Amino acid sequence: MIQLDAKIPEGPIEDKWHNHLEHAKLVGPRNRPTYDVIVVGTGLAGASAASSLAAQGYNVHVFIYHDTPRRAHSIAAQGGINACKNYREDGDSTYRLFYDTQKGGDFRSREANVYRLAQTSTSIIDQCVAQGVPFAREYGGMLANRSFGGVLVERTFYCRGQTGQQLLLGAYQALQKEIEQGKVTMHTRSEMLDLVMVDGRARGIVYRDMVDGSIKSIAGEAVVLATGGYGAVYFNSTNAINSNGTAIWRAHKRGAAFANPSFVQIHPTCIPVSGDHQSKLTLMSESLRNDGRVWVPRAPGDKRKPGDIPESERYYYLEERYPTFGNLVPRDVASRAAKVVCDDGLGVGSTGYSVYMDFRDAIANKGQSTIAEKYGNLFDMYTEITGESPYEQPFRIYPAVHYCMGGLWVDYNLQTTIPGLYAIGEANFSDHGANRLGASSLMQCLADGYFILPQTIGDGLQPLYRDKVDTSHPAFAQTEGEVKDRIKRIMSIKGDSTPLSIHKRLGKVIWNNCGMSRNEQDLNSALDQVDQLKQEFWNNLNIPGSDQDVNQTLERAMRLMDFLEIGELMCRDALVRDESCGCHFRDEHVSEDGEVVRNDDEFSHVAAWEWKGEESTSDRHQEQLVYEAMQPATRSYK
Amino acid sequence: MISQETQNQPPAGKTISLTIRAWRQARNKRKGHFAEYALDRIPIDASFLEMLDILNETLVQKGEDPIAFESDCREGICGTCGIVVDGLPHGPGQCTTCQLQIRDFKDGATITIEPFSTGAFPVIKDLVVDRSGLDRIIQAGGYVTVHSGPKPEPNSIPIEHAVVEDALDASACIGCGACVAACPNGSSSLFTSAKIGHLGLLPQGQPERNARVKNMVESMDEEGFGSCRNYAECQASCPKGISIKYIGRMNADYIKATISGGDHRGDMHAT
Amino acid sequence: MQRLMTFYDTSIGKKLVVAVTGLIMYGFIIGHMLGNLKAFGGATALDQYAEMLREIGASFLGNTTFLWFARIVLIVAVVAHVVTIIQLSRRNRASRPTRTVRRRNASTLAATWMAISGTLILVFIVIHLAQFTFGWIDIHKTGTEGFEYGAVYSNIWGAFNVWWVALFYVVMMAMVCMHVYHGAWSMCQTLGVDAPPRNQMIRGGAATIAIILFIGFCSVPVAMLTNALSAPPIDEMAVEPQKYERSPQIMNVSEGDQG
Repeated sequence: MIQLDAKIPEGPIEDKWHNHLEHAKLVGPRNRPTYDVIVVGTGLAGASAASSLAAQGYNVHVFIYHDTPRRAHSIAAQGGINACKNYREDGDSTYRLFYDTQKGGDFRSREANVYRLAQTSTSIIDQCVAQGVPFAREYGGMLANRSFGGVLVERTFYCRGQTGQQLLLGAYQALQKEIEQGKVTMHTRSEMLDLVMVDGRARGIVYRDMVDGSIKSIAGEAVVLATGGYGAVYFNSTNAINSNGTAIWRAHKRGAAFANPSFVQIHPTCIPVSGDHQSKLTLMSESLRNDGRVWVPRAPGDKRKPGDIPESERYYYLEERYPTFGNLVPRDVASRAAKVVCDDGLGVGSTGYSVYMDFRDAIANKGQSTIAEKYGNLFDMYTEITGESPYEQPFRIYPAVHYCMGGLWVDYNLQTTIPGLYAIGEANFSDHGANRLGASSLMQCLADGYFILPQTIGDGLQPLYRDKVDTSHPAFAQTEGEVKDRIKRIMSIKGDSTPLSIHKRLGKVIWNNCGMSRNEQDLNSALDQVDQLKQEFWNNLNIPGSDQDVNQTLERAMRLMDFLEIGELMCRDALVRDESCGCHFRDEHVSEDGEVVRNDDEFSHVAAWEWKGEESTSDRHQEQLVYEAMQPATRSYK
Repeated sequence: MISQETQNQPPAGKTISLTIRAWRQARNKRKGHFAEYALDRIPIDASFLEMLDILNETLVQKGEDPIAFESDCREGICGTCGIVVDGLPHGPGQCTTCQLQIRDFKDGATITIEPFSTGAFPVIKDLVVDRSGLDRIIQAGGYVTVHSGPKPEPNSIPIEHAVVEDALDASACIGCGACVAACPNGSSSLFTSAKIGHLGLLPQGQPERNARVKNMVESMDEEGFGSCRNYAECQASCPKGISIKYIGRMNADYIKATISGGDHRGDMHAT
Repeated sequence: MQRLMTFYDTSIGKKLVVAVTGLIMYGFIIGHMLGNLKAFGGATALDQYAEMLREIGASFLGNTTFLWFARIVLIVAVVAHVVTIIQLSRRNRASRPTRTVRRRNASTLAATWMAISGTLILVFIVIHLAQFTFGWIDIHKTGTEGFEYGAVYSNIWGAFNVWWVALFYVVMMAMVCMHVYHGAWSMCQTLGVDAPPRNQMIRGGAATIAIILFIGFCSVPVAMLTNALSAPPIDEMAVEPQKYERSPQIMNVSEGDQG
């Protein structure tokens, strides 16, 4: 039975973090080298945590399935990173960032964690600048800012449209430095396949060497999962091809609670799907909504060229429905609005499932060169993919799966329900509630990795002094055996269905039933369909080649195996949460003007699921959300 | 009825036929060979890698080993993908392999695909190569030594707009290795100089500037990359359009660093 | 010293050696070309110029001392240039692409042909010295006089009036100019002088100098072959039509002279 103790420190919200640090147990510098910490994943969270822990003196082992840590998908983040520096003197403050994040998340996140995130945000900018991250500067040499959805201040720092890349390279370089100094051992092309538990603690992982196929394990005093989100369960998403939920799912099956699995963000501005061959949806940065105006023709089925449609016949639906925030409403609101107009038959493009994002007015007012300097690479990217130039005709965009607010449940120390197992970045659930604001993901990853985990991990490690395990412990051989059996089992099915085809079908089921809007009937039907796909997987899967070799089909199949179970849990979670909140839009709970209707009395909690074995359904536990610093209100962006 | 935005392209649903001549190599030490695969009904809207997905899917269905190739973000930023397409690293056009589109190829064309293999990039399998040498060049000094913790207020060190833009031009490098694959000498000068250029331009990179350039240049040679002969093929193949001017700057920095002496690998890390 | 060895051990260090030695030779051929143009001033002017070279610094160093100093510098430069390039190429052979990679035509023909043009130039230097410095090779138009030490104008006039000798020189000059065109720009890049705002200028400058060198060098053989430059004056032609068994001795003589 899982105990959900959030370990929120005492005191007023502004003082909680400092109070906590002052009373946390520490590992002294002389002892740190005797602790092995395993970090899985090298995105912003993983790389920053690994380099910070190594710099403190811990022995760090880092695992990734890529050929180098710099490939992690944080690199694809475009728009920027938030920090309440208040450089613009436009009323920003720690409280304002905290407030915006809470409100953006529709009051479904833990207050203390969010406040700490806001407190830490400014240090991230300082840290990254010191590392040589070339943030955009004004002509006077000062840092530049821009605005993102769901806020009324300019607090987003950026490097053209490649902020994630630059921040990741900063963290990657810090990691490379520690590798050179021998404090980090890098295990590339090594995919974590299971967690090793000894006496109820996480004590190591089992991984597969993706070049020769061998199954190995490693022991450590703590395991940090920084493996990102599971959005690729939808097959088509803005996630990378290899992004997967295996590490967190395997940890879940070993006892870590999985929180709010159905909270998945659908990003409003992506390039629409063009056909069945599609392997990936490309995001167009939210920053485009600073200058781009979103519209559809007022008349259904209007097939005129966008340029020929007069102003009076254009429906600027975001500006009309949300006059205060206009095109900069939060992502869930913008996505749903696009879905609504397309469902009403107003959508454009050959499929009728896209809307225009128009820069005509921005180009006329600010000049093409200004727009090109701000968004040039995004415009070029769009032209490369679609063959259309946004300088001449509007972008065509449609929402796509982007980010998982849900993830492993963690306490204030970022420790999961398994002692010694930590989850950071997108892999945990902690800060974004039911919807994440733009440019907050990079902030959370780096806050977790540079500033929070390195200061909270000692508290859990300190008692383990002289209590070390190595891979000779029988638990390692046993877990390795289980992994090998699993591989043997799926390699020997030798049926007809390819992992890719099953994955595509799973994606469609989840997208249609647990996507931008959900209802009881659809979710129940999705559960049945996922079950059928599971049957097909276990009875009719086909993997050619050997498992003792580079085998990308096997890699995909093992990830799919876990996606099938994750998809099931998502639907189950969405079904039980009988309210609408943020991204979770239940058709049963809609206001008259089409907005979400929360049910704070019954659902003001985090749902944390406990794995109960293959044969029984998971248990749902609740962490009640306590509001002291601000009271939940109806979210309005009008 | 065709809506206006698709008028410039072939109507949706149009497909073409292609013959893929792919390099197959089981392991690094094994001998490789070309295998030909005929493909028809490839959607013109597909990307080049989606075409390979379709090919691999048919191979898996037949129970054959699919062609191993790497890709991840499929939006041109992670640097994972890298195939020599018809003799050109990343294929025709200045983009990554994942950004190549099928509409850029002619119906009935035969496309040859090979790995980015050079002396310093050994083949792992088929089109997958080992590019870890690039990481070790960064390990030699491609960073600013700062621990996590309180740092000075960033606006206390103003940086000229143009300098930051220049640094960002260099740090746009995605580490794909196309510069190495394109260089007749297999040199990694463009990659190395981009990092040296990025950090060398910024005030934060100054304290380690001499040590950095010396260590990275020496590491580049140790890793078995060739020397630059100013062919400029790297610049032409770089999907991020990184200029060879950074190579010139690296050379100048290296000469200056040698003359001025200063820290060296090892010295730098003494505690 | 350790620092220098490490420096020379890296590819950039080696490239710097190539650049600096190239610069020395670049200076030399520009001077050589200008000297050749003295031919248009007539036989006496050219021969006197040649004599003047031998006498630079003669007042305190003795005859040809400076010339020999310059020659040694040049020989060292050539040897260092060639040896370093061989070392670099050997290293590059191991790092090359192992699959067929086409070029994107970013590299000029001059860049691609550096090794070919370089090797040909090396061979050419040997022939050139053997022909016009030492006189070991003595090809001349029938009816003209053979090689005579010091009679520079007469020597080249006789040789360049053989059409294929003139053609050989013109072709070789094309090689030299191609080599120095890429070499000069490449040198700027290696020394870090090149930068985008200057690139056009540097490339343009390298091309202009290469073309001037080509025209300058070729003008003499062409002018002589087409008789735009007249045959050496009769009185000098009248000197004994006897063949010299020559060269090493000549050098000894000249060295003897200064002593």
